[in-house]
Amino acid sequence: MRECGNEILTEISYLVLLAFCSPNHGYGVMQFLEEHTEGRVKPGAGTLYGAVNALLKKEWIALYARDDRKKTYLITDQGRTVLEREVRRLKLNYTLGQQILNGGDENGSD
Amino acid sequence: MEVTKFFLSIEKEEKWLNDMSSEGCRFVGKHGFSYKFEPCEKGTYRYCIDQRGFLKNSEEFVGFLDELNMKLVHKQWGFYYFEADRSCSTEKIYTDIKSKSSFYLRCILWLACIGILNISIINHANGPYFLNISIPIVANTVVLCLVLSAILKYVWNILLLHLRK
Repeated sequence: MRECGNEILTEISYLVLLAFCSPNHGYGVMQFLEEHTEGRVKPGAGTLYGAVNALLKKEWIALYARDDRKKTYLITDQGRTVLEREVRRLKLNYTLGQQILNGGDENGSD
Repeated sequence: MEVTKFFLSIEKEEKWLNDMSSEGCRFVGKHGFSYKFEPCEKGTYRYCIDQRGFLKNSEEFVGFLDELNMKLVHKQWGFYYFEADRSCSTEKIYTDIKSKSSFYLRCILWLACIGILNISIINHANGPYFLNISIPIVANTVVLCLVLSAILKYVWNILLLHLRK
């Protein structure tokens, strides 16, 4: 397996990669982002195109099906590994944040 | 309906097309500097323009945007005019720093080509003359100054993008 390095995913790369965990295409990814971020992450069409191409170039997603003009992609094993590593990293950072902000202060108001 | 207008700034051109749409004129095509409109319900359509210069995967890009309900209305000189109706949720084509910078650079490249054309006309032009002043030289110098100021504006936009980061 190719060495992925220690690069950190941008939020949009992370979310788009998640969207491709099942076969998906441009419109589907846009809807996924809107639904799961409650409209917070709304990339432009060209930005999304760039994000998808970047994932393709890194071989984290691959072409799954081609229907007329619509291309469907699916995450690769390598992409899945990257995601798992990223989720672990986010979980560690989240837990640390929770501990420091909430746990250490017994009189802390909520 | 046809309107002739000349723009050096993509933002102003986009804004104008959107203003026309909010007045009930739908952009349907362009020939040279002449824009064609058809009547439509006010404010139904929004327009975004991309300058794609020498980029290679333009057809794929158009297909991708088509799927997102941004339809290509017209393409000319590397400018791609996209139309979105109310069903389309995206408002702009580029929203991240990297793509926006690339876009501004392509606009600068396009303006630079016009600038070079101006300079070559200034170097080789002769007549017609008016009051002993060569009209092509004056006209092209004016356009060249406008082009340079437009380029500087895009350079400033790129700087702002990176500074605000």
